[in-house]
Amino acid sequence: MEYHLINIYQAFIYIITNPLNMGVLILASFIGLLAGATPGITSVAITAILLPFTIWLPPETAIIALVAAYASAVYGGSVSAVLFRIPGSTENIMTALDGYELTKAGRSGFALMLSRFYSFLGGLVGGLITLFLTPILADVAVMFGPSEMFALVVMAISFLATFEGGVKAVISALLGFFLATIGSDPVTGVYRFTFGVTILGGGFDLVAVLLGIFAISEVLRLLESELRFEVVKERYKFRELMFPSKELFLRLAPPVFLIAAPIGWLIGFLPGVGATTAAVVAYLMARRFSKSPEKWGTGIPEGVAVPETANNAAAMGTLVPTLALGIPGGAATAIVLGALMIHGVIPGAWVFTYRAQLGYTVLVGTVLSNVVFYLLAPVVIYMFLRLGEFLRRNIPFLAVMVIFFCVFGAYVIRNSVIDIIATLIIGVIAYVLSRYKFPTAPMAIGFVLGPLAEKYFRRSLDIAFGNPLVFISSPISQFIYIATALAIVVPTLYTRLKTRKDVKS
Amino acid sequence: MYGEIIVFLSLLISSSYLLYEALKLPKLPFVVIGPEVWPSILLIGIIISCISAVVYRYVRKNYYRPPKLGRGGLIRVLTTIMFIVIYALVFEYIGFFISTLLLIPIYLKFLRIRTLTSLVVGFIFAMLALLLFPVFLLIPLPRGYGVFYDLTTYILGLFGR
Repeated sequence: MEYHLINIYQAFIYIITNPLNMGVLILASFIGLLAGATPGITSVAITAILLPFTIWLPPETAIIALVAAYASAVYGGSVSAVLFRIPGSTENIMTALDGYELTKAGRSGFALMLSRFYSFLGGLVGGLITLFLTPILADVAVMFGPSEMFALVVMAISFLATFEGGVKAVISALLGFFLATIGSDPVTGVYRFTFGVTILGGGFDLVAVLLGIFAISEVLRLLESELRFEVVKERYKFRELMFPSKELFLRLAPPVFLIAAPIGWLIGFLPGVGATTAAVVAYLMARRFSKSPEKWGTGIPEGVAVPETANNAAAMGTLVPTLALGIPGGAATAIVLGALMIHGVIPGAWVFTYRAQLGYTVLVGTVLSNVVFYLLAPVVIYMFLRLGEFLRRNIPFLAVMVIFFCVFGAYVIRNSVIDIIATLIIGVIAYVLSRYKFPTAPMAIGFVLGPLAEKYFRRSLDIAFGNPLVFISSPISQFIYIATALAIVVPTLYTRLKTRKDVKS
Repeated sequence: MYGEIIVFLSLLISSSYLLYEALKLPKLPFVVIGPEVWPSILLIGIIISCISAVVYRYVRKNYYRPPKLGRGGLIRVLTTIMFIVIYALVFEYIGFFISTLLLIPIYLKFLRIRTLTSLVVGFIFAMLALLLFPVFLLIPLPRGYGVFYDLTTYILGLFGR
């Protein structure tokens, strides 16, 4: 442990006393923030775009740049999610639900403060866990096989039941799951439901689906009504835009520290899952354990704080399998892994022994990147806040801006017009369904969880030659299923007992 | 009143058709769980949910009526859908710059924005697309064909691309 702390201290001093490291950290964080806040440029895209520019840097600095850009973009995506209901990155999908409702209620500054503070907190907590536990916990990640991962997905799916709308929420979620099956079958390569359109062989892209569900449907809904809204200019004291009040912090502490941060980090830590799933699972879980789940999605602070904490904690957690095992936790960390290899570093547990300076510098740099984006964020927030106010006052301009970013954001995924058309079709379906009170969030969640659910479902059965007992054979999956059952039963029983008690009294 | 039932029935019919398509997928001998299993489970779930929803609403006479969509609102919604379709269709043929420059002012004019403002906004968005994607982020976008290609290439050349 002493050796570990000395390495952390040395890495910290190495970063803050080296102007190149600090300069790159600040620049990459700012670029990540701007890119994340711009709809259509995802956290993965900006990490990939920055990769060629980092080749000439020393390995430590290059990785710090990529990780800082990624972490800042994960936060930056919440800005457009809150202001325009367009998740800047897929990780901000859940933030768009409550964040945008707060904006509609004239509290966009408050929502942006929450997303900024809790992104920072999530990143910091996740970064610290990563920093202290990576060398110790690396082997745990490989204990999660397909059946254990399927159990985790089942847990997330079971929490979808908390969405209001009854059968409509179920249909919406199933539609999301089904959309994810379109394209080439991951196991056999058979094309499913492509109807001869070759480019659909790759399936619908997550960005295109999210733009359709959240952005296009919202624009169509806005255009139904009058084109000018009276927007009250928001005024805040400096402190209100920097930190939550003590009461609010204490109110948000249980879901943030007991659910969002640990769940987010754990899901990020598992190879191949990623920060988007972390935000979804944490949101659903926190909603499940909330005393008033019906308020989630209507613009409550928890709805912004929980997913933002989880996705940033996950962004830090994804570094563990990447550095210690050479298994990327998600698409962005796959790029980081590529950068490591470009610099001649072969990832593995030895990164923390034989190349300790590199390993620890990357981890400390990751933690510091959260501090840097927290300090830089007000500039971006101010710019986008004023833009958001102007656009909400002038709906035609807002419509044009959203359509512009949807068209370009969908096109640049695969340089294909089909993606623009797919975004539009999904947007129109979401719009029609939302007119008939179908909640559309479960559809987006279904699309995120769908590929994971199918992959682990089939892989588990393939390994067990079709024996369904494989799903409950390992102690980890048994624990997850029992925890899920308890998570469903206990709050329901508690509510019923409380209602009965209230009626009696 | 029947709008909600129509939505459920549309979902029911399309899911049934897709289930039929799923069951037609090739069954490979060496694969334990074929490509049709997972989508079939989901589609059967949708079909059962839709049938139960229709029956429940028919028996209880409990329908949801969405807020009425005025004529102006309906026209705006349909025009926006058409605008995106046209944008997508001409995007590759006349290039990203010209299509943005032409279509955004037309759309804004339809939404009753003054001509000059529409033209300025169209120009701003065309420049934003130009500077953000091909110039700063080096993401290639379609330049169109023929004269449109030459024009877009010339404009990109002004920015060193």
